[in-house]
Amino acid sequence: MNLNILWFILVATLFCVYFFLDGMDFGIGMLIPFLGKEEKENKKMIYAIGPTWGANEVWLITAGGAMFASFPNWYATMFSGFYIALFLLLVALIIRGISIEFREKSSSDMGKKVYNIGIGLGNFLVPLLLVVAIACLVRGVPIDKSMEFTGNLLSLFSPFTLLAGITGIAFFLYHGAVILEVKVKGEIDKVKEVANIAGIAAIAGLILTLITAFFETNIFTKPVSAIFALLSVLVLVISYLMSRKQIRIWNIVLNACYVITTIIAVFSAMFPNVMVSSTKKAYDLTIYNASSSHYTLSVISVITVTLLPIVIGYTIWTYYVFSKKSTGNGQDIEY
Amino acid sequence: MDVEILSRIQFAVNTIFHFLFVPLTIGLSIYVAVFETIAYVKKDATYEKLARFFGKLFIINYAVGVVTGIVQEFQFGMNWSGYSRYVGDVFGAPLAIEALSAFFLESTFLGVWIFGKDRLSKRTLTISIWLVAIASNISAYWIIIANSFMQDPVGYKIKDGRAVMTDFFALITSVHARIQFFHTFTASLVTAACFIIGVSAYKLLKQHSVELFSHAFKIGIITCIIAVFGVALAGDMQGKYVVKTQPMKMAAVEALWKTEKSADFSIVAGINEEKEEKTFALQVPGLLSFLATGNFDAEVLGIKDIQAKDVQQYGKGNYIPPVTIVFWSFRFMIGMAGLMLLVCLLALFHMKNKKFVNTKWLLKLSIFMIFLPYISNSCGWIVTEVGRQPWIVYGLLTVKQAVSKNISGGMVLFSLIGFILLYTAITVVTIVLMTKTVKQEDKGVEA
Repeated sequence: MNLNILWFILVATLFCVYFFLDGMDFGIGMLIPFLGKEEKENKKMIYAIGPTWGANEVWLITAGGAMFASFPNWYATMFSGFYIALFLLLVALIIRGISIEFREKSSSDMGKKVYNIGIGLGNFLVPLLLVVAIACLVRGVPIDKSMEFTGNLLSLFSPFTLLAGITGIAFFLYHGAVILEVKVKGEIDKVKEVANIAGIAAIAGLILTLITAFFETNIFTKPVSAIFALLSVLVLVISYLMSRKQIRIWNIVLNACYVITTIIAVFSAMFPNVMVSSTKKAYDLTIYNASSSHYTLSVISVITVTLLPIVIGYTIWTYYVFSKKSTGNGQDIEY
Repeated sequence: MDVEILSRIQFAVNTIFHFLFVPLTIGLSIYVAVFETIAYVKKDATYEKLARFFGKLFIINYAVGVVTGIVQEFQFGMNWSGYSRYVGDVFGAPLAIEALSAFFLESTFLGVWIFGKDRLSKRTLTISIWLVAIASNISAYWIIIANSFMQDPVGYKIKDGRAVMTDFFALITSVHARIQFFHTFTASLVTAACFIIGVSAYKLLKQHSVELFSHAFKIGIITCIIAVFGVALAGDMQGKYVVKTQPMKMAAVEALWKTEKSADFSIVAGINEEKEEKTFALQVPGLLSFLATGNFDAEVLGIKDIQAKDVQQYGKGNYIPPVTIVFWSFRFMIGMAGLMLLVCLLALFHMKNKKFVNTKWLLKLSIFMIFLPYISNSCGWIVTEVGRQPWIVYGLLTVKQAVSKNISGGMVLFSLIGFILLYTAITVVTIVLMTKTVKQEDKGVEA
């Protein structure tokens, strides 16, 4: 395996971890404006994401940094090409971060309501835009021979990319509800119902997305990606059926598997491309024509292999610390 | 409108706004960590309260720094894709390593520090806040390595029309990066010290926890004086290095059109960029030569001569940065630092007397200290960045070549207006929240 392939896998892995971890924040965040009837319930939901959302977002920042460092042309073409979409993504990320952090410090009900909306809206837009953008990579966008994107905002939208985005939203709602149910154990009404409805919506959305993928992408022309695409349906259905009975920690594991299978399906379909050109096959950005030099890839490989296990180590430790029931119920935390 | 101009304005808006929050994060994290350590080791209630109080303000500031930070990583690709393709091989690595080595550490342990109060031991919490402080500084170093490559590129070669890294070690030990980090680090300590001074002065004026905040005030004043001297030393080193590597920047700082021996330094001057002359100037003889080389008689190259040399070296073109902006930014940077030092020395003089806590004019003056470092910090970066124009990477790539080719003026105008509106809203809520937190009666502090 050469370093270009290694970094392709690493970038995919970073997106996997990001979507799984921040996926909880997306889901719970979207529910905050709707579910909490009383401040006590809202507070519980905030505390479910408060300690970790910031670190979760770093996985996205790392993925962006990794793309820049390992495949500068991919980063340059995608970020300048998807300009307006990424601008909206930044606005959504800022609004959600500020809202989560400042909500607890607002003393008025009105202020809290505004921040609730900010949290909900931000956590809705971020995954929607990101999933659409990633769907665009595999479906293809107009790119010319000097690697420049030649389309506009509308070239990002098609039945496949839109359905992928909507399915993403449904899945994150389901994922968030599952986590919330495990964390608060029936203390907030309607979480179970949300999981039921969102789960069904995610499965239906996924099937429709895959049907459009058949026409718009090469996901079903490659054995690996086809198998993982179908596997993702299976995993999601099992997760859903299990959650109908009782939500358990296994649901979270299955949801992680779902994120992994979909990312593998998309990235293995793209491979060795990082961006498909809908203009001409020869204009595709690949892991070779978009990459950094062998020297740079070697340097960042050594550093990543050293640092990533440490990061994973303390991330697991943090989740372990905060998975234990808080002794003081969070009341003496001035946040 | 022109994509390049709009993109430059947007980059300036994004980066200056982000950097309003960064220095306080870097500096205040260290103060809070030190307070917390003293509180833990000596079981000292005063420091416990200080750590809590300034910790709260730190968290508000940190949040804005983080959310505006992600814009920085995105905007190179969005508006400067030509740049990203050209230097990505060198420039991307420090950004990726920053996230891995520092940003994870910082955000994870800040979460632990805030939310772990009822789950973890005091020792673990103290270690957590130290990890936050150390990580913010590591983070700053990687970003400065990246920026230094734009000022004084090292450890690379040009291959197939782009810069590729050849020596990672040279990149991370770049002289420019080391000096600039020292400069940024000391400036961050000054920013935090002035913040502590100003906030404490306000609390003293309101007679809230007088003993506590007179203590904090003293700590602020003393550390501020030391840190200001650190900044001066760093600035002096940087000036002498810049003369050698980017002579045009230094010439622009003085608006020195003609090469001079024993060049004077203007305190104020009228500048006519078109006629390439100063209309008037109040000058200190030989000081520019001294600042640039350490020798009052030395020769300093003027803008016209450097321009002629650059044309020979790089081909036809205008290699002169916007002189007026660079000239005045430099003076505001230094002027504010001088003002800070003056107020600090004044306060130091009065601090011997116990009654200084009732000296209203001194406390009122001290509140304004909060704002001075922000002017200095922003102006310092304007000198560094505007003084490098028209280059984006000095001597290698111009800003014109760097801008994205496939975005339109309308798109950038749209995002620029969006960012400005968003930042205005954030500024308002942040200031409201900060003042509210500061104003809270002793309740929050004594709790």
